[in-house]
Amino acid sequence: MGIESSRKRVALVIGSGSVKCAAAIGIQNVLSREGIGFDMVVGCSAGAIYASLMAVGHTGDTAAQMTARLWTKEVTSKRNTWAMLRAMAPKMLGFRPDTFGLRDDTLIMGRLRQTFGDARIEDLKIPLHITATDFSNGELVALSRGSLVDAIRASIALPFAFSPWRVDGRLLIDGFLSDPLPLSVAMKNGADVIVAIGFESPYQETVGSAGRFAFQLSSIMSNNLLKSRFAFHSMAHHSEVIAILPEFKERVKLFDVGKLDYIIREGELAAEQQLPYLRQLLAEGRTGALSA
Amino acid sequence: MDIEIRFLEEVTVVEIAGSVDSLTAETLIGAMLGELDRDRARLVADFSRVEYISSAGLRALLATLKDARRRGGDLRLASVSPPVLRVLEISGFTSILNLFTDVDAAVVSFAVN
Amino acid sequence: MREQVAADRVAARPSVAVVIGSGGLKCVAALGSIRVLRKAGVPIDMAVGCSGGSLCAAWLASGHEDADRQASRFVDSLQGMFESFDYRAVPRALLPGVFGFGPEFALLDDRKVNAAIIDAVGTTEFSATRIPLRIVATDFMTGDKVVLQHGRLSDAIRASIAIPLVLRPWMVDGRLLTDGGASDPLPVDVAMREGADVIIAMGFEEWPQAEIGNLMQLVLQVKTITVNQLLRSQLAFYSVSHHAEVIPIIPDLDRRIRLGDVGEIAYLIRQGELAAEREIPYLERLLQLGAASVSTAGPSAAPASTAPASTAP
Repeated sequence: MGIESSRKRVALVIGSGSVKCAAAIGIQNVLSREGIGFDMVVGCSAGAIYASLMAVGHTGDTAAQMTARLWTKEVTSKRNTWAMLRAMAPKMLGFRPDTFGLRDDTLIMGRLRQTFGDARIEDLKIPLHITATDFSNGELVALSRGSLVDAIRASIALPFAFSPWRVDGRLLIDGFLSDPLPLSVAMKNGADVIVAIGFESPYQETVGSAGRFAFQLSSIMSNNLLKSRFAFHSMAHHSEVIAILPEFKERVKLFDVGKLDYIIREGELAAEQQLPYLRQLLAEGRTGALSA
Repeated sequence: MDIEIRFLEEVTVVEIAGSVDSLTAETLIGAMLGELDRDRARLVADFSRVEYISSAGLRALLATLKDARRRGGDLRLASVSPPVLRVLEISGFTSILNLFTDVDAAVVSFAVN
Repeated sequence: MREQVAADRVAARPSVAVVIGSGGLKCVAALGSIRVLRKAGVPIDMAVGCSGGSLCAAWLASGHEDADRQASRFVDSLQGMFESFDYRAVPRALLPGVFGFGPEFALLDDRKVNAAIIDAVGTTEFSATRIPLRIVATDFMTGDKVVLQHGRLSDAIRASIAIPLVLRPWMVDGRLLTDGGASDPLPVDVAMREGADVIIAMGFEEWPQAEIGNLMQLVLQVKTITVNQLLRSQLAFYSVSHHAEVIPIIPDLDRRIRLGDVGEIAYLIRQGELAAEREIPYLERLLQLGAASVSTAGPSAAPASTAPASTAP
């Protein structure tokens, strides 16, 4: 029985977390310094943007610069007034769920196209998988081929904020709804060592309105989903899952691009902590004995 | 539960019939691990005659899956019936292993790698 | 656990827990499932309830002899609780800046719900149930699962069933509690921690929207996706991480059931029966039902606990 390579395949999985996902750039910096490359990258929600930058082949520095221009507050500042009106008078104005989003997506789409152009996922330097959620049944959908910009747009299609996005005939929404940190995709694609970075949704400090109430609830359920999926997949994986958990002592809000350097630095620190173990794992060779 | 094992060139097909549960899981693990020990880590489990699987059965499947992958191989399922598929979906197993409509498709998938 | 169960364990009978998860009106299907279990002679040693399932679990733990009469009372309570639900008010509350509501916003009349609960369980306390009962709620500020096992059943049920936006959160022992389903729609781990060997887990999946023509239906679709994913992910983890035999009974529904759809109760109960019947053959083998006697199964191999725990590190 020939095993093709005795080298362990390393995957990076970047979960949802808005601008905090930039910490993945820190991981990239540390690992490339060590000469450790990723054999595949998986990205969910905002994580899909960082996964894409890496898969295209950008260095950490370039990725940081591009992020600063790409993911800013303006991206969600423009209201989609027509959508709001339709929501209030659905019968009269014609409510369509597949186009409903309270935020105008023109800016983000423009920036994504500027950053990635016509790139197709299967042509990139590193195998890439972007996750979204099927709007009709809630299942996780892994996009491993096709238009990169379309895949990212689907992955970040947060319900109510951005409208769902159609890819290959399926209406898709934000990946975090099916799994905020999709280790399963790395597992199904033959990864051995999985480096994972994910974030819990923040809880509200005070809950003073129905809207905040809804956010609180959404965070509660999403975080419970994150933990149980992570626990299950770690347990079911045949090799190691190395969770990189940056500690943000300063509060980082969803679009705090001003804190980018801080976020990347925290990512580096957290990655450096795991480095000795990672080196040991990779030194063992693919079918070497693993710890019991 | 009955088990029959067929050897193809690079792949071992394990045909399972009956219920995979806490009363039968040990037998199944024994058979699968037996193959793995003989360095045959490319396994296809033919589920066409599996009527039922319990959580103990799932654990047996998982133990085999992990061991096969550690040895550079894999465990792939073929011909899973709808009620059993539902259990695999609800229990998260369809997200971590590969299922095929029939044994041939599962066997061929190993060659593609 | 209680003395009776301890004695059974000495006789090597696996202990059996029934966990009834969240599902609004769908929880009434558990009635059908339990009927089937009882008919087959399945012993039930503990009950765990979450959200809508908490009322059913309380009924189960009270163990009234006149099962059918109690059952119809229980159905009446659920019906009474959800009948007056009006979905249409929800989206207006959620649209930004359009209307302002405080955290106490809720769509169901609290008094009616509380009255229905008191009617079902009165002032009974946890300590008075025939078999151990646990009710699960969620801490609203931290998202943590909270297991209630002391004090009045009515308080625990009211906390557990505090479906967001439908009922306002409920204060128990200084903690603001909400729907148990938000942390875990089917809390099997509670039964595991209590030492159950066989856990019959009655869960309910939500049916997706057929078509989405307004914002409310969009809200519900997102909720459906979230709830189903959470249910499955928790169940998946419990199934492989622990040696207990988890037997899910999840009715196959072919239609969407809303809180106020009381006309569907007979259909739900029937689906609950059908789902349970599928598990009976294995349960009979596992618990050796119909052999000599259920509770003196002798020095059997205690099958559930010898399930191979070879899920390697």
